[in-house]
Amino acid sequence: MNWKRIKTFLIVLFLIINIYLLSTTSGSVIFRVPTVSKIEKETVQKTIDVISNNYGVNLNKNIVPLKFTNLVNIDVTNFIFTDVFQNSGFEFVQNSSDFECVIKTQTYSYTEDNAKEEITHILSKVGIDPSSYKINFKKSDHGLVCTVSEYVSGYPVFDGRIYAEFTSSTIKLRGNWYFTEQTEVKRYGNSDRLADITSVLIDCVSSISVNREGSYTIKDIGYGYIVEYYGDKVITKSASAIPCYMIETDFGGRYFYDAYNGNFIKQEE
Amino acid sequence: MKFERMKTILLVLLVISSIVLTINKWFNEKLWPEGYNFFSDVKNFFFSSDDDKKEYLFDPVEEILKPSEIIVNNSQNHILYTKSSEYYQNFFAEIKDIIELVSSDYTNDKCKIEEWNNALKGKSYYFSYPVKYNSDYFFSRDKKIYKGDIKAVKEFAVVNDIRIPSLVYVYIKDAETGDIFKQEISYESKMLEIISDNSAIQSDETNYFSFELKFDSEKQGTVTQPIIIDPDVLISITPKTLSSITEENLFDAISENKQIYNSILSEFGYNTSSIRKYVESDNSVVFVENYGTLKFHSDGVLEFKSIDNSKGIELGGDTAYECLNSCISFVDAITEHIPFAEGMNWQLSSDIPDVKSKTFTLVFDYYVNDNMLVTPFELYNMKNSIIVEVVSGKIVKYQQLCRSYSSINQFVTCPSVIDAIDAIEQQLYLPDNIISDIFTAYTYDSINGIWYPAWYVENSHGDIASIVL
Amino acid sequence: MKKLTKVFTSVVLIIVMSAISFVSAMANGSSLPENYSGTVDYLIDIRNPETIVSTTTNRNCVISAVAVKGTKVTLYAYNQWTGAYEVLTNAHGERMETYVGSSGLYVQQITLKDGLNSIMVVAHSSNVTYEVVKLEISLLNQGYMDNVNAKFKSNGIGVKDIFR
Repeated sequence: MNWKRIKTFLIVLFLIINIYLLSTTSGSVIFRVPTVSKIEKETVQKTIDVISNNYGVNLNKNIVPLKFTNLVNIDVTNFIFTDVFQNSGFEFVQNSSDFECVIKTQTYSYTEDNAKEEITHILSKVGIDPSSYKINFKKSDHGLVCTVSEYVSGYPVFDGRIYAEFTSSTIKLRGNWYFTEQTEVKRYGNSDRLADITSVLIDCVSSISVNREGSYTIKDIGYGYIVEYYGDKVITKSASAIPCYMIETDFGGRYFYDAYNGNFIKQEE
Repeated sequence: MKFERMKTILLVLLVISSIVLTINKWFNEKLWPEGYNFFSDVKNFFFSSDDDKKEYLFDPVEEILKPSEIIVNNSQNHILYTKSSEYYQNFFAEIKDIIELVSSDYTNDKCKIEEWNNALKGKSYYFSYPVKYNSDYFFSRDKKIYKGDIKAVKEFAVVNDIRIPSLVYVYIKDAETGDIFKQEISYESKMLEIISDNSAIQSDETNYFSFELKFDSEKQGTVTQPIIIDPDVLISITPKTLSSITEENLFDAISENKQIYNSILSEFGYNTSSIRKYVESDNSVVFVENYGTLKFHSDGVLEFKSIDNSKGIELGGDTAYECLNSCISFVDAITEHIPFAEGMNWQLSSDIPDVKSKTFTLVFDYYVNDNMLVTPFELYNMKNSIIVEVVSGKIVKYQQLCRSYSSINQFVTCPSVIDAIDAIEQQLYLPDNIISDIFTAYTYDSINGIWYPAWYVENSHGDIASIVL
Repeated sequence: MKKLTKVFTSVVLIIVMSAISFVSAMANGSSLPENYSGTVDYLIDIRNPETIVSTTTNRNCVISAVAVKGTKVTLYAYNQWTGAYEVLTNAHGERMETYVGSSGLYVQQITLKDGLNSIMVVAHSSNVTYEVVKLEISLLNQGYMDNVNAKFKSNGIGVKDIFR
């Protein structure tokens, strides 16, 4: 009886058993793979053909993602209800479901660079960390404007948007923001499948066509979070942000769909 | 050699680790279908808590079918026992036997009201229930065995035959028609034996039935009787002292209390991973799922509403009565998760009619020291503390006041019933000058935030009002 | 002459004192003569006991009545030693005297002595307007009843059957 060899064999055996047990008990962090929903390239092509032929809608296949990581609902707190809304030193006011703020500054004329610096500073003062947003500048009739878009763990929070207008010695802010403490946004283990983006696209296009004639192009397809209020849609202190698909057209409309059951949520201009 | 020793140690550690992980997995995760988990049973056997034990002993439907008052009549006095009294459980054990005997070997013999009155005046015991139960439900819960003529039950009395101790007469008053049914059964009643000995049961109270005082009807005489009191109403001619009650809002900071809301969410069948949670500006928490909304109001009200009557929480049970029982068990399951104070009870406040379909509404109220707490409608917009609406076997609306009540060291003396009745504003509360019932209950004083005991009177329409002294 | 005046004065004083005490006793109502009767008959209806003459085996007897609101009802029991009705008192020594409220209902429990109890119910609405009801309640004690019971039991008749 070669005791040594038996021992080696047993060690390997129990090591495998331990690894198996550790990886399959819920709450374990080893070997967890987030659940992902995939679509086939052929399905995407077929969908593009359908919407083009039946509705005259153009869609470039490159903007359609083929893989979506399943996301969980996250608890978010509306900025308007936080202490910092009142105590930041800036005069934030609530205007129905958005907030507004007018800030007097020392800067007489704004360029993209100094505007970015100032807006970043203002946002830090209210607890909005630069890692949670992206800024896009645009020139408009009113002067320099930018949009601050919110991101959580790399996924956009479509409702978290602040518009900033830079005129001489004044910055005007308008929009809404959500704070979250959740950093773990992916779903693991057995999970529901997301609704197919292709069927959502067809739903979206066919309902647009009810009210709209003529052809247009789908500019962008996004996947992220949206806050859907319940009941009489009054904003609440905290809410659940749910995973959604965002479909943006070139005529300016953004359409949001529940990513798990494919239901229409809302539309934005 | 050292290497070999290390290998041995490593092997031992791996084995122990595997065992620990396996046990952990078996005890915590559901490896077997619901209801069968051998290892969980073993764990419970060695480490069971009182909560687990309570699950096996407590039958919410049996609780609903318990009388609210047991009155022991021993010719000298009438002594009132309620659920928390010492002798109550002993009497209740006999009630179960007697009801079973009566339902299986029923008779449709009736007798005169005088015999009923004599039974109550002599050595007997009398049971009164908080609500009226349809006879099917009363006698057999949900089996529809009872085929006699009694339509509904709210009270009955048991008396010995003085010649034959093992012969017992059960008098049941039909709550619908007022007829008295008399049934003879063979039964050795230990409690009747005890009553026969006058010294065994003593009390400081002095009580009389209205019929004994002859206040139950107008009689020929020179004086007009301003108020009539129904015959079986027990009138206390001694004052009663009861403690006051304080309350606690169990949903204070509910948005932080994951333990309570997660446990209640799972009873309502909500999938906690895909649920949507909202916290309103008053700190009420709302959970939304496709078919309904569950709201934990910051003032203590738990409210569930389904989006329409075709959706809701599915209740088990094939027959209408089984569905009703399932509803009662559901209320019990929810109540278990709420940290109510010891000594609080809940009891039916709506009659159980001949339920033909699975569409009905049940209401309940809380009791402390066996006295009901009258829900302040103006505060919560609820007439009772627990309201459940069921449509086609599904709960479509559920409301429960989640405040906890406990006695405090402050006492109030309620005067005798006659003194209390003197204070009623007759025109306001007694449209036909008839009192159907008079009892003590707790009323809320919103100024001091305390509940005080007071006499309540019930008129012939079933409305109740407190007597302000 | 002086001595006669003194005696006369003392006698008059004694008579006056007795009269006063008698009258005040009367006004106080702590004892009333056997033949005391009322001036009206519309103030009170006795409901229990149902009859003027009744029998019971229960030492506690409840007197219940319906009376006009505001009537003062006092209970007396005949004392064979004084030959008068003495006011009944409760366990605290207080007179059994109550004012009937707006319910019109009156209840008072009394403790009976063995044998015959002559109870008098006096209902006053004013000093001059009052009704008097006299009740004769016989208490058969338990020992007696047990004997009767035993006797009838052997004959198959229950006591309840007799005293229906």
